[in-house]
Amino acid sequence: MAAAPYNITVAELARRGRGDIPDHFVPACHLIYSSPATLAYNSPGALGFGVKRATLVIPESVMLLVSPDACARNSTVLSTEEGYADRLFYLLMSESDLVTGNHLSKIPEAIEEILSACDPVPKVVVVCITCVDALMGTDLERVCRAAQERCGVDVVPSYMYALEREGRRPPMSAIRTTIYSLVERLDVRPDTVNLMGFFTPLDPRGELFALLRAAGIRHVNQVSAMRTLEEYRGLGAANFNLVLDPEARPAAEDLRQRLGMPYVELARLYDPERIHRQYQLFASGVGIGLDDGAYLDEARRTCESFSERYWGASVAVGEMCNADPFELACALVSLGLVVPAVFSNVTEGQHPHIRRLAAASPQTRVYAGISPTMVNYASDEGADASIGKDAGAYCPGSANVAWNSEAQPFGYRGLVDLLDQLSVALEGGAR
Amino acid sequence: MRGLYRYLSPFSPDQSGAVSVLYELGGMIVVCDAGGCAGNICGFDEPRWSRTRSAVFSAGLRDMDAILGRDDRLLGKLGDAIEACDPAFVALVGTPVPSVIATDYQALCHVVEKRFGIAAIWIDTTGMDLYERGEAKAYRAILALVERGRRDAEGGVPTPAAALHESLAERDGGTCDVGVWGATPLDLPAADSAAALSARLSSRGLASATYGMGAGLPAFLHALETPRLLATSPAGYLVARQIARKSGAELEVGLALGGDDPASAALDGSIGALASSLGHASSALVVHQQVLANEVRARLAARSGARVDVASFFRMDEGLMREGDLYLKGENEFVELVRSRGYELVVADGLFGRALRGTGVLLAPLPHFAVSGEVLAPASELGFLAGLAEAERL
Repeated sequence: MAAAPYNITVAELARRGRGDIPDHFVPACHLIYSSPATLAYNSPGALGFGVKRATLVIPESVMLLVSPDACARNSTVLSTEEGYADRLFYLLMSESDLVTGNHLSKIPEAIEEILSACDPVPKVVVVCITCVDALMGTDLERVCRAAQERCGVDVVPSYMYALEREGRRPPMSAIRTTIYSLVERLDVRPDTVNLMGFFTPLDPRGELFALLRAAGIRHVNQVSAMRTLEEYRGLGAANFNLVLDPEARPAAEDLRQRLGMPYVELARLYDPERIHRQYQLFASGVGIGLDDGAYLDEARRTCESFSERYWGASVAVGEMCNADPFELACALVSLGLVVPAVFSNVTEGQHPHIRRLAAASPQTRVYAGISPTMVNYASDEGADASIGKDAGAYCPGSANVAWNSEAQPFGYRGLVDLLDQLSVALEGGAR
Repeated sequence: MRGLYRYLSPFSPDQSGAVSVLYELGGMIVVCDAGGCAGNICGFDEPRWSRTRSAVFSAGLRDMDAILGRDDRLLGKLGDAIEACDPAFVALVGTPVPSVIATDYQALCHVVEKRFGIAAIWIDTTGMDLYERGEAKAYRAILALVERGRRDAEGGVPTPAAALHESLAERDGGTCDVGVWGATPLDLPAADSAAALSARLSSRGLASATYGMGAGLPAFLHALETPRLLATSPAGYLVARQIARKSGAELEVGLALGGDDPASAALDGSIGALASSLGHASSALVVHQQVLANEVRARLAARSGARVDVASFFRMDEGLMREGDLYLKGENEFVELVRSRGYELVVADGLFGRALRGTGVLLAPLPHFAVSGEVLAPASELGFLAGLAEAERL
């Protein structure tokens, strides 16, 4: 008899606490079901921004992926669909390479061939290795140094070690460190800040730019918006870094230790009062003034109007979206919506949101999208709408808001835009 | 440099081929990886993933599992998942990581059968070979499992394989006229190809079982008794030839095209258009999996009178090759072949066009899922065959 899809109320999840997360929510504790709903999450390299595409945000760079055929297969599709096929090259390993390590000695010559084939000639070659080299203890930094001396371009080591996903250096965290590894300290410009965390630029309509400008910060750098390596080098002049995604924290810490560049973290939130508090804390922390009153008022008005119209509507929330699903669920519940289900893994860091959600909506059920039991998932939570591609797949009767735009939402603008899209969905526009 | 791909990108690996054969058989398929390989298989090499549910899981290996060889943890995970899914059997599919740490699949399967009472097989794919090798290995593993079950059941030995055999016997649909081997989404033109193939055979009064795409596990009970075998790809040919040698079955190779079925008509129409662009003295190259490429070659040569060679990056059987045919070991060899022989027309997946830019050659599209995946996948077999006529000068 097949088991029912594992789920638990958020009240029970909160009661168990951060030290007793059920195994179903911890990828290392069970086989992983890469359901069509959660494919991109389970295999970060599989869809959207994996290590390969992420690394290519370094301007004027190309990547040489040195791996077995199997590791590179998804690039055939993604690089074509997302337009970076001309910047990706492959050096495929054979079984004898595994034994002899011969693939490593081919890297400098391969880079020379790539440079001869590219027009314009790239200024940076990122060499990426995968799990098999992790197991063999390959010293890629040494290989890259030798290649750099021979080829005359920057050669940057990078690692796509899926084996270390819950380890000390998860691939999507390590790759952010790689992206900033060519930054060197320049004379500090007090009016310059770097935004770190996303692989695509922040939505330019977001209030963060205006708030920073009003506080005297005139230059806001984002590596993903840069077109030349010279612009990229300008990152080294920033007064401080603003970390918008916790996965970028190790990269920011690396810049702090290596270049003495301090950093501050801001989370992506969807509750206007929490957004406001966060801005004020940030302002007092760095000693600037941030007057976000007008934006806060607009967000409050939008929330009131939305709440009035859709009070009692039900919305399922997934993790494949530009939000922390538990924080987003809390925000939706505070607007009078019902959140019947959240589809997400659970990490210790999410427990503050989980506790808040448990207090506001204890019966919300939390499904582990990657649990093997989800292969038997056949129900529908009956939600009117869903947020996140995974929640849409698990609630096929709902109107789905994917909320995964590459123009990264943030702050009040992100909240207002989300409610706009949710309104359209609830009116039947996205079904 | 061999192994360097400057224009092309990697093809479907052996592990994807193995899963494509096992996908519809009701087993629990465990890709022994950290997550990326299973993601690649499900997301990019298995077009059925978004529409037909199958219990394909990643083992979720982590560095310490590999370094310390913690097979006990894997067995624990397998036990939990078996309980959750109630599968017919368990299949362990190899990837680069277990090939580096030399995982003892046989021992793992032995423990799975003993501890959980369910039949288990392994496919020792490495992620470093191409898909057709994984297909052949998976076919053999399933055939061996069914045969082991039959032997144990007949001998009264109460093994998990025997229990599986008895369960399959209860759902036995009997033998058929033609066993089709090597028909997977990675080999065939489009998602509806297996059904179309079956319909073509049916229109000739032949009942068929398409192993890997359409026929379920019970159909394997009679795999060795089928009087006629049809191999639709090199992997299928490899397996079918072994069966034919053992059973004496009649073996054919091809896609059962011919007569006045819609697929043959569409193919002939496209070939006619291509042939008109070729002179008698000219030459053409067809690049695909060998069996499909041979089908195209036969028609194109007959209609145009031109010399038509076949080349493939995938396994080529010597018995199906003609003089001038070539197994391609890499990208440079492919480019060099086209340039040196001066082909006027190349019939190949559109992705190969990247490597031939500026050569002035005429490229007729022949999508191959194992090459370009969903990027160039046609909506239907008829679309695939009709699209062949839309050649483009590079």
